[in-house]
Amino acid sequence: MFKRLRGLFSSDLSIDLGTANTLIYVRGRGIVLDEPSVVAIRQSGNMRSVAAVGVDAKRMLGRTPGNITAIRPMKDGVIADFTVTEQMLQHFIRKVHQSTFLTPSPRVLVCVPCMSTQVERRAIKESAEGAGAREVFLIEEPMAAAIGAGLPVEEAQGSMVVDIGGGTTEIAIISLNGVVYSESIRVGGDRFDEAITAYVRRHYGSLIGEATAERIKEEIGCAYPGGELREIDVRGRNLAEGIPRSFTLNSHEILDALQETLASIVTAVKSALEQSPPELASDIAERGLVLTGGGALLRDLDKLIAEETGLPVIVAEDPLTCVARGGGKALEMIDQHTFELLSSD
Amino acid sequence: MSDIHDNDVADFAPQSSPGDLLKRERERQGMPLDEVATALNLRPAVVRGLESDNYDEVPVAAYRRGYLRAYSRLLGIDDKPVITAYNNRFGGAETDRKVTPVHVTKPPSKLGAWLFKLVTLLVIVALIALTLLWWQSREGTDLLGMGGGEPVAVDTLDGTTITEGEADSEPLPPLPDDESDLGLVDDAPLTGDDALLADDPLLTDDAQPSVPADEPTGDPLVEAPALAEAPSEEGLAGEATAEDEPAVGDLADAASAEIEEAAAADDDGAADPGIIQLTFNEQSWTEIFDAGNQRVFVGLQEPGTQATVEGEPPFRLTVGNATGVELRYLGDQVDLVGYAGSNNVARFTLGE
Repeated sequence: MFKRLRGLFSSDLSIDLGTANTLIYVRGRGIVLDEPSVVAIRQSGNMRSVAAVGVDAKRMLGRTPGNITAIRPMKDGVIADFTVTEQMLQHFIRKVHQSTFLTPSPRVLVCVPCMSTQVERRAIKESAEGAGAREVFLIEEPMAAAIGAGLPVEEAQGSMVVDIGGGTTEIAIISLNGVVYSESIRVGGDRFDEAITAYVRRHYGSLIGEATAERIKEEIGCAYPGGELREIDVRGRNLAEGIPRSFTLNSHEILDALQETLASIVTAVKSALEQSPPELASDIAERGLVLTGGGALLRDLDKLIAEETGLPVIVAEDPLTCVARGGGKALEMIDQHTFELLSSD
Repeated sequence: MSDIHDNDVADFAPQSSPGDLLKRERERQGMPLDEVATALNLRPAVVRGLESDNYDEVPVAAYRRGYLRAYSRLLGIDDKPVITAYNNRFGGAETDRKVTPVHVTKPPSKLGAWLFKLVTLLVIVALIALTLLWWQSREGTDLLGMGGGEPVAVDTLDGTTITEGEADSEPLPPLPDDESDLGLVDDAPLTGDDALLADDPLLTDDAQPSVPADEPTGDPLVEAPALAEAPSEEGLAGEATAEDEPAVGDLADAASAEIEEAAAADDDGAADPGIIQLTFNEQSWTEIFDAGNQRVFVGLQEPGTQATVEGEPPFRLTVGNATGVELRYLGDQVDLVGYAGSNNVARFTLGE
């Protein structure tokens, strides 16, 4: 009952609980929080306390002393560390409710990967409840992404959305507010980073951290050959000499590094198209597929997929926030009784 | 190179339509339309539609913007001016369509929510204030009760009783009282001197209703004890008094008659069911509630004190150390020991 009372002082939230970033959309206010899903835990004796969350914690990744561990509690789109996720959510929910003196107890819509298991969904739901949510709704990520990208999900027309997140890539064909076909592969931005790290180790004998790999990807990463050649200077620890060394990478090398990962995404897209009913396939062929998620920002990824599939490919506007915005729109529709959008437990 | 184009586009942006921008750029690069269509995997009709700002082929806004962006990037120009141009020209209608469902629910609910929040807050504040007030008032009456109760019990008791009997308060009655103790035992069915003490003023009052003067009150009382004094010294107590009575003569007769009358009158007076008279021979903690559940008397009473309690019957009493307390109600001695439990605390109700 008290939760309900506190709920009066809380706004409804839509949370895109992603492997890489967590975004929170507040009803009536838009996206108010976009922070990395990283938590720094300080261990003193048997006591574990949260040292930092979000941006601050991400800065600590790979740079922590022995008593602090920077954790990414989400892995492959699902919860890897339940309690830490709960604490992170709690922190974020408080953060977006700064002005309230009561502990907020909002209604929360959380996006879950479409292929996640019952257990994983339950974990997310309970984690959100543990973080103080009064009521938790789940929505499948590609559905939220499609709504966020402005696709006509409620029409009897096939729309295809490819959401490349940090941990997973979700591919779905949507029609009439429902997911006709969906596929989730555990390949995403993280896998790009890993591929780059592995490539650098193999070809330069140097070890680079996650953050550096991500920077390389963002600055010179590309998915399709033919663009202008870009270069970046990076420093990594040389494995043979054991001392930090500086070297230069170019975009072709990164393209090479990403080949395998990109291929798996393309394969998944193709297989989705193979599986789609012919009417919907023709709709998709006519209009094309939409890329959302942080992975869509990889240079020329749309070109690669267009080339491979022969379909028009468009990148959604502001792809990073598509899922959160879509969740937000779904949240607005909760009161209009459009519950079919929401996935059950 | 792209910088130059950006500038070009920026120059044209305000007045140009997105289709114009794209078409001009494509023609400048000498790229045939079919080639663009192939590169974008779009039908040539769609591309033609984009260039002529005719979006019949593309009903969904998200796709239109997507195509425009893809086209811009294919041409190697910045997509922002194109999208801005598109928004300027067609954005209005489109956003309307997009926002409508959201808009319908939001404003009233927002206002309602605010009102609701405000009202809830007010109600909570009011409740807290009321609770505080109640608490304070409760504390206050408690203190009042204590303050009023104690003096009544110990000091002002006589005064109030006398006032009740419409007689002036006076320091005299207690004095003869102690002495008359033994002499009165037989005449009045009273055993405690305190009961007498309380009675005395009434007694005198009734005996001389017309004159509420001090002198007459004192006289018979002083005389009666004086008469009884001698035998009492010999330890003869009641019997002695009885024997003496005829001997003492008229005065004594008159006195005893008066006393009898007084006792009767006292009964009348004490017959007021709203008055309880208490005598504490030993220390006792006593609490009395009246019919209105109002605490009319409470406190730890010292030995040798008396109290008269007024209130609305029935009374709910809790008398500690019951053996050391005498209680008169409706003129009768109430047997507290009968009510007392094993811990010598009497809990009972009077005047039901």
